[in-house]
Amino acid sequence: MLFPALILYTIFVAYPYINSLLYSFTDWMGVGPKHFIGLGNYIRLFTEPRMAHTFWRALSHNAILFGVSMLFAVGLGLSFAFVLSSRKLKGRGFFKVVYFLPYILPSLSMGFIWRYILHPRWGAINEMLKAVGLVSWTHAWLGDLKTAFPTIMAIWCLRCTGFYILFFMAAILSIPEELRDAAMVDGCNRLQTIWYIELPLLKPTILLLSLLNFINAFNAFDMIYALSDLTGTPFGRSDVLMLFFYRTAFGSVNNPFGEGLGMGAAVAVVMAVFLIVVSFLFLRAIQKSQVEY
Amino acid sequence: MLLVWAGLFSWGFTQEPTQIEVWVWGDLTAQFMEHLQATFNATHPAYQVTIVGKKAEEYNTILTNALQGGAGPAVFLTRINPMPTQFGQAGLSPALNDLVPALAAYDPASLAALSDAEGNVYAVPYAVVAYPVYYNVDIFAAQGLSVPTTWEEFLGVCKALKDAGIAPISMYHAGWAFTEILHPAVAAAFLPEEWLEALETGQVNYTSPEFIATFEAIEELVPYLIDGWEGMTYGDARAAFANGEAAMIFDGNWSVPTFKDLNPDLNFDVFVLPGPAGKMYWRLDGGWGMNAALEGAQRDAAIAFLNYVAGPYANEILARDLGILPAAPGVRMAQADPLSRKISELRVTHGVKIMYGIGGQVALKYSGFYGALGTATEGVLLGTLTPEEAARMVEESK
Repeated sequence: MLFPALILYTIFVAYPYINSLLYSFTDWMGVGPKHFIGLGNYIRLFTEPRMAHTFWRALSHNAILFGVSMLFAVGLGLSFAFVLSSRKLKGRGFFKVVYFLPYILPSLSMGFIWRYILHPRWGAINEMLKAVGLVSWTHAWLGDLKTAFPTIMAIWCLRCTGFYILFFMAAILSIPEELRDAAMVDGCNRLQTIWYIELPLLKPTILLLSLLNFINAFNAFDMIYALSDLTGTPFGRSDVLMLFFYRTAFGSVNNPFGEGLGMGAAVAVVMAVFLIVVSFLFLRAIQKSQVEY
Repeated sequence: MLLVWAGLFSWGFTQEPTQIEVWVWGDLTAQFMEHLQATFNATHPAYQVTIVGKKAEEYNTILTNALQGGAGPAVFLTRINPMPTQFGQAGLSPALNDLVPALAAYDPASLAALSDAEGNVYAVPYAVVAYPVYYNVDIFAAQGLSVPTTWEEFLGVCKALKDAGIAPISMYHAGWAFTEILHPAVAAAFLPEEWLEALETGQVNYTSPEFIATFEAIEELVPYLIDGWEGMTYGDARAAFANGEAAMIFDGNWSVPTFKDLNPDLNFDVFVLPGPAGKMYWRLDGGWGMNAALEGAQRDAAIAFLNYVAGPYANEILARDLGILPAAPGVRMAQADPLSRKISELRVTHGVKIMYGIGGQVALKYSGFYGALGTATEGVLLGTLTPEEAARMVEESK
């Protein structure tokens, strides 16, 4: 039964991974001969100032995106989930749809839509600011060195929050009502019930969604590409690892091979190792936190 | 005997023509080449060419994968170096020096963008792109301004426009456009030809005062850029110019039909950015390459097509239908758009050949140059780099 799946896995997952690893030890440009250069690409990536600077800068942006989205997407998602889980709240379905709606849109489309909304000359945000007399606040949100990445992160969080709300709501609603009732009988108020009963029970879900958030933040590409460009404008302030990988491996129209596919593969391998190690640690923590009720 | 001859005669007329595919970037490009295709097929009845447009954004990848996978077209448009040389050195496309005799008459600067260091030419030059400054004739007339002839006059025009509440220059925030349009346009106006020759022979480098001066000039433009340029794409900037929101824009000749399409009433013209050197940057836009795997009649058909597109008649058609500036010598451009013709004439009188990076041998040696030039220009425009730091960034990318 597992054999067909194993064949598919080998062709579409294992083979590309192994191939990328092998390419990373070559100077292959994507066309022409490949020469084995050992760890040359890896040494260059971490020692050549231009490459190393760009790599660490992109990695730090991914890390910031992860941190901010933990706070404002996962954190807010959890908070909203508690509010929306209340059976007393009217219009729960409406709010669920409203919060989840941004997640339904493909992230690339959402990026382009926000690009229009934030357009410096005729975008809705600046027009609204002008309408309420805040003309001095209008500016190029995505082109300004100070506001570009915070704006991108805000849009990122706005998109993801609804997804986390739904997951957290499902987890909250699966907690047996008797546990809450028992806590109430023992004199706990709502906040104490959340803090002492529900949050500990939600720990595996929180860790799981944190892992998903980590993977998403470090694989961020399409929305950021739509909101900036392949170089992570302005001046690399919104550069992330996937953009760095893409332009390293594939270049651009008149720079068609970038730094070469060998170098691009090396970047991809470093990213994969980093993601695998951290994901493994997350999974260990999730296993340890499993609870039964 | 008579029957045999009759049979051969009728075979000659009924034989199916050899069919080949020619790939170009973009469906629109293919559509505009319909007449080129029709004339070739009409004048070469033994061959049947089909020009196929491939997605422009992914063209490089699609073409490279197809050629490497043995499923490539007979003839294809290729970008300038390093692409054609890489194809040639990988054995995917042959040197055309002997197959297309007309190549000998081409401008060596055009051929250099499609050749390796040994002089093997891997594609027939397709078109030239040139980079003038576009200006809105009505805005200039309303403000009583004339075309500037010195850099100081140019800055004076910018100031006069700004003082009148008009955005002087429409600008984009795009690394590729800084590398391919803005910096080369300014550099052509500022860098003396002796310096460019000295650069090629290694006597000077990018940290020399002449090159720093190009970034100083770009720095001087900053106060005159359209408000909000930091958040504008290349398309936004072109639309702003076409809609009269700004009086000038640095752009390539390919935008002539775009501006007319965006605003048919736009009254615009071009001038060469004035500076100490007073030149206009131009470079080759691409070339027609051939699949090395072809054999027999398919190979003959491809060679016939390459010789056809190397000649003046095919280029006359392309200049009229696509608005390109032909790279082929002896093309009159009689039916081309007058503004395209003017830019073509300016290239002859003011053009400066490949200076650095894009398409030249530098592109083959230094893969980081392209990105570094764009980032350095962006840094100067945003005020995060001084001209000296920008020049050093470019030098260190080597």
